[in-house]
Amino acid sequence: MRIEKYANPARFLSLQKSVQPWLTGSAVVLIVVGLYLGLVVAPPDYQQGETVRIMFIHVPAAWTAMMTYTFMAACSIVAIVMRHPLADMAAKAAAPFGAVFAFLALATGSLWGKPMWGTWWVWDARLTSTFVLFLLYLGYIAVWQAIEEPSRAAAIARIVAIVGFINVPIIKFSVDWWHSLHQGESVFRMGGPTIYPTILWPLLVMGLGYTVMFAALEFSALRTEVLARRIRQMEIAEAQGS
Amino acid sequence: MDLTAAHSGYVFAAYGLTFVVLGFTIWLHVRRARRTAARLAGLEARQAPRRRTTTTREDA
Repeated sequence: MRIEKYANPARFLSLQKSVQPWLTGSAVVLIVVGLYLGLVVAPPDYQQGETVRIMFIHVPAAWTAMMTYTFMAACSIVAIVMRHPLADMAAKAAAPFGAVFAFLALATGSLWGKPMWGTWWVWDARLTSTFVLFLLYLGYIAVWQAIEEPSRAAAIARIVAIVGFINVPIIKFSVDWWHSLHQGESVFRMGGPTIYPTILWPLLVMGLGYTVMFAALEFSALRTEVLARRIRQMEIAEAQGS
Repeated sequence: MDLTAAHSGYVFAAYGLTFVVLGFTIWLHVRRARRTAARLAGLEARQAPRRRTTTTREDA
């Protein structure tokens, strides 16, 4: 099966119709299981106590925020190189969700930081680069909102997505490159995770749940984008006809 | 989870904020999806009779 086949909006709409219930259902199941593992099964951490449970929503939000921006940058490259009609729409549809995940990563991190570090916020490399990611999302959304002509907006938005992508590896490696108050890599690292399985499993299940939730929202939002573009084309045709 | 443990208020706040923000985001998204679909259906219904009349034998 060739993925390019689904660059055709009509084919995508038929794929979306059949896949959407499975994605939505899987996201709900994974998040419910993850919440059960995180809030009921996982024990309190010997140092952090109950506060460790914030990790089960903070870390997946941060992962999904970075993954969403990577997806947007990839879509923008595909839009430039292969001229897929859905690529720009996919990136545009993803941006608001990415912004929400970045905001949640910052806010829940802040709620963890106050009892653990004694402060809501520090201008630490990891925190600052994540804040920059949030601003990049807002900038990307602002480009689409500010420019009425979709092709012009898409051209500028692609540049914002691709140039802004440099921030994603900075977020990932910031804890290695600079002395940081934020803890170092403990899941995706050479030598395997350093987290005990009772804490690691809820984290991984919630991470997968957030990823599938993003996929479900993205598929649905992309459908809305396709329909919105069809409305625009029909309105233009109607205006030209009258 | 021990509801009386120290700092459990921060945990409640974090989960509460996450549920509210994600819930609001999903509600906004669903509302936009429904409105867009309804608008498209309205446009198609408005344009359909026009398309039909231009293709009838009488018009031709």
